[in-house]
Amino acid sequence: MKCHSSINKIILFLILLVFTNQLFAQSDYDLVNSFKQKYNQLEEAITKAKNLEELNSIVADIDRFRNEYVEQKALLDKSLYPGNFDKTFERLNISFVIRNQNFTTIDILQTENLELKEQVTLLNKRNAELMNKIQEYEYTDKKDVNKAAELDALVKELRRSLRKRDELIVSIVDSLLPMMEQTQLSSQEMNSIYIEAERNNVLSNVKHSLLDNIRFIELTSLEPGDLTEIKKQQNKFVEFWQGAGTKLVDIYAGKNKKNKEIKEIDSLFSIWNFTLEQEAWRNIREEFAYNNINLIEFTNSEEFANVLTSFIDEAIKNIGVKSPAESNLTYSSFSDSTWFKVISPNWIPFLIDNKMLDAYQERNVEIKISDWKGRLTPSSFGWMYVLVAVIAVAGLGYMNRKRIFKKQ
Amino acid sequence: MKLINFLPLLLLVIAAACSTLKLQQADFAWPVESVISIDKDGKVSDERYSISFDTGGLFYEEFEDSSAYAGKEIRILRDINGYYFITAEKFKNVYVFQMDNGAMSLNNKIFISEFGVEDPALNQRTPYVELIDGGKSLYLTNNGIDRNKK
Repeated sequence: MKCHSSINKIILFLILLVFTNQLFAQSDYDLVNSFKQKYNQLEEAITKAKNLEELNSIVADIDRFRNEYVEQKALLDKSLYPGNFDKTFERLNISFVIRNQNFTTIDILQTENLELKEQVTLLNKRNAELMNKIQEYEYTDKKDVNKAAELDALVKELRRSLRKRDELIVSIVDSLLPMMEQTQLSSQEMNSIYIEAERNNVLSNVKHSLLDNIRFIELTSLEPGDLTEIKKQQNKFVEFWQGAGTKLVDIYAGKNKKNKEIKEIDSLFSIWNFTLEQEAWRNIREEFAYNNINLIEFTNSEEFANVLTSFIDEAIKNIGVKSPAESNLTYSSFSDSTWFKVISPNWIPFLIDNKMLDAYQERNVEIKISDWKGRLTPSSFGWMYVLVAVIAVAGLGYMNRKRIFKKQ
Repeated sequence: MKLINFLPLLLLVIAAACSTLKLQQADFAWPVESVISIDKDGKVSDERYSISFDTGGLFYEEFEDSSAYAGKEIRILRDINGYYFITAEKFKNVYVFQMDNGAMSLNNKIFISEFGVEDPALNQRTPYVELIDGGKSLYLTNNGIDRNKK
């Protein structure tokens, strides 16, 4: 039994001897390579850490790594040229600090975003309530002065609220932009931005905002000044989307459902613009209708110019057919009460500024109006010329007769 | 007579003038061996130590086949005295070279094993170069294996 135990001890000793010998007979080259490999692994772990907790857990690994190789410092100092043992750990620490700062920044942004997100949710709710109220008021008696004032106040509040909500959405996306600004994002970084964007319902909020803005135009009756304001806001939002949208497309690449949503947002921008333009054309038509000039519907500059010139052509044709008083009334309603009083000073600058009408089209309508006026004048005042001529001839005849009587 | 008295001094001056200048305590040792893959033309080059040479002759000497380098890598380490120790997998010898006017000339060929080394590695253990193979160590100088060093 004792002999058996001794044999076991000898075997164990021999195994240890071989093992120890192998440990001592280690290749310096392999040792340096394994050091470099572990360094790369740690650096990769730092870069790929998903959160602060994961990053902090690497600190212990770095310490273990240092302790494992500190005895080989002399060899590593010489072999890691142009670096050395300490510089290697300095580099790891720098990587750690940079990544740590990234997470701290992201953490702050996430907290800010959380607050913004809550505000957006509140505003979405508030806007929905305001829109419903406005809709109720639209069905009530518009001649009621008090209600009209209340409606006006509600519209103003809604407009402020919509603008504030849009600004918040822009802020949320802006907070994601620094992360998106990096030229080459790894798929992991793309994914974390995607998660962050999803957490803030970026696409859903942008879509919500666009739909509300469209509904706002449809619900309310807007003056050129209001439309100019909305157009400015729209241009700002379009500019924002052109910058952020293209980046978001990259972030959402491969997510089919989300890609569809981005395309939907693109088309909502077009619808918003189209709705705004239609609102302008509809209001212009209503301005004419208010003065009893009933025009065919027009939805663009060409149709607008054609409808107006056709109306004038028709009115010119009717000179002589209709009574002069009727012709004059039509002219004055069209030209004096609508075109020169409302359309030309209020709507034309809006249409031209927003490239909805060009100066030639405006000029052509004005030439046509001038022609119309020219044709109305002789027919209306022709009989006066005849009367003056008759009086003049009669006067001359009378004076002539008087002279003859005097001579006799 | 006077000239005979000055002759030793004169010889000393002449001897001093003819001797080569030596900068002593030079250390040529590389801290760690270089493991270099041989290119398709049989050449190796090491960026860190700015050295390159053709290995065809070495493989001919070892295997009597100057094209046996294909797909192989050599391990090279310079010792404190400036000798280059070169070996590779399956080599029976470690070759010791020294610089020789734009060439590397063989200084010694140290026989290691009839079966060739399986997984060799060279470590700098000044003043020796340690050859490791399968956990076994041999301490080499340019003159051969130092059997006394354990």
